[in-house]
Amino acid sequence: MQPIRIVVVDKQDLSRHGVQTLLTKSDYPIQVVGAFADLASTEAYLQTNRVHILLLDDTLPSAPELDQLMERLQTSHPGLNIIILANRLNPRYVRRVFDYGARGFIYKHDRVEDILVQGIKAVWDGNTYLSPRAMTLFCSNWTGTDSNRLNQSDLAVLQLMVDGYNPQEIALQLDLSVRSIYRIYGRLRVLLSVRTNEQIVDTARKRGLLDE
Amino acid sequence: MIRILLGDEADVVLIGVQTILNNADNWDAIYTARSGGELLEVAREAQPQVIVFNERLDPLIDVLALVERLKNAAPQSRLVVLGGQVDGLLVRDLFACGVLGYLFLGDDLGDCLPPALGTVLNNRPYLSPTANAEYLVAMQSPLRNWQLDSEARAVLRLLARGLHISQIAEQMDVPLRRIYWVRQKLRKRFGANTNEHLISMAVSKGFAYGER
Repeated sequence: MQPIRIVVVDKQDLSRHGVQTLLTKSDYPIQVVGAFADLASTEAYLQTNRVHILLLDDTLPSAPELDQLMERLQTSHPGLNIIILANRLNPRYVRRVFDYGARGFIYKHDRVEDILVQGIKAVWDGNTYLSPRAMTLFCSNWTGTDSNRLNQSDLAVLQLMVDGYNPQEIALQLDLSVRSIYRIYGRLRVLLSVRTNEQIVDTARKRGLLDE
Repeated sequence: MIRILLGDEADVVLIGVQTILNNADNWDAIYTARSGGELLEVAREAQPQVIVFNERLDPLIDVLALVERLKNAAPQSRLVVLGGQVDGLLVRDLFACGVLGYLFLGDDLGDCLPPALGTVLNNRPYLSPTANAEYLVAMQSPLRNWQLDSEARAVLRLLARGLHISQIAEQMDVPLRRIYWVRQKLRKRFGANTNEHLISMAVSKGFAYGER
C-alpha cells in the first residue's frame, strides 16, 4: 500500500511538533511530506508536490479567510482532502467548515493522540470524520432548539452585543427602534434563561450561537 | 535531576513540548497534566523545578488564581505560562504574582523553549519575543499601575453569574460606589465599550465564567 502523503500546517510550533510526532509513531502507512507554519509556504508546496491529506490548523486564517482558502484549495487541488485541526468548537462553525469542503474536523482538545490516525483513515477511505467532542456538540445542538427559537434579529443583536455596541448603536445599525432592541434583550434573557444582559453573551457563546 | 511539569488540555501540545525537550536532552523527568486540578495535584506531589502550563488550562479558574494556588502547592517551582492571546498587562500581572516566564504560542517555541527553561532555572525572567514586545507596550499604558487583583476578578465573576451591581456590593460587603469604580476600570482594562462587551472580552480571556 502506498503511503498517504500528508502535510501539516500549524502556526504553533508546539502542536505542529506534537502532530508530527504522533504521525511518525503510527504503524499506518503515513508519510509526513511537509510541515509548515504559514499558508504561503503551504500553497507554494502544493503547487509542485502531490499531497493526499492536508491537516490544517484553523488559527492560521481568520474565519472568512478560512472559507476563501478552502474554496481556493478545492479549486486548485481537486483531489486534496482537508482535515481541520480546530481550536474552536461551535456547531455553526463545524457545519460551515464542512460546507466549504473539509472532509474531517478534529478538535484539538479531544484526545488527539487516540483519534488522529483514525480520522486520517476515515477520510482516506472516502468518509468524513468528526472527533468525539465535536460530534457530541454537533448532535446535541442539532436535536436542541436554541438556534430554532432565535430569529435573525435576535442573532444579529447578539452578534452586535458581542462586538461591543450599545443599544442605541445596535438600533442604528439594524434600522430598528431602541425600544425594539431592549425588547430583543428581554427576549434573549428569557430564551437563554439568564437574569442579566451581561450573562446573555457568555451563555450564547457556550451554546454555540455565535459566529467565532 | 531536573523535573518539569507540563500542563495543557491539548495532548498534541504536551507531546510537542516533550518532543522538543527530548531533543534538547536535558530533562530527567517530565510529568504532564490536562486540567488545573491535575496540575495542582502533580505539582504538590512531584515538586518539579519548573512548571510550564497553558493560561487557559482550566475553564473554571483564571490563570492568576491558578498561579496563586501553584505557588502554595509548589513554592519552589519556577512557573512559565504558555499563552495564545498575548496581553502585556496580563504578563505584568502574572510576573507580579510570581511567574518567571511567559511564552507566546505563536512564537518560534521550538527554538525558544529550551533557553527559556534554562533561564528560569537560573531564577531569571524570560519572555518570548512577542510577549516581550507586548509587555513593553503595556508599560506605556495609563493602566500599567492598576492590577487585575482578586477584588476585580471577583467583580467580573459575579457580573458573569448574573448579579446586579447592588447585589455584588452586598455580597462583597463593599460600598456600591466602589463596585461602579472597579467595573469602570475593568471596562478600560479589557477595552470594552459596554458591560456586555466587558463580559464577552473577559470570557474570551478566561477571566469570567458563569454558572455551568
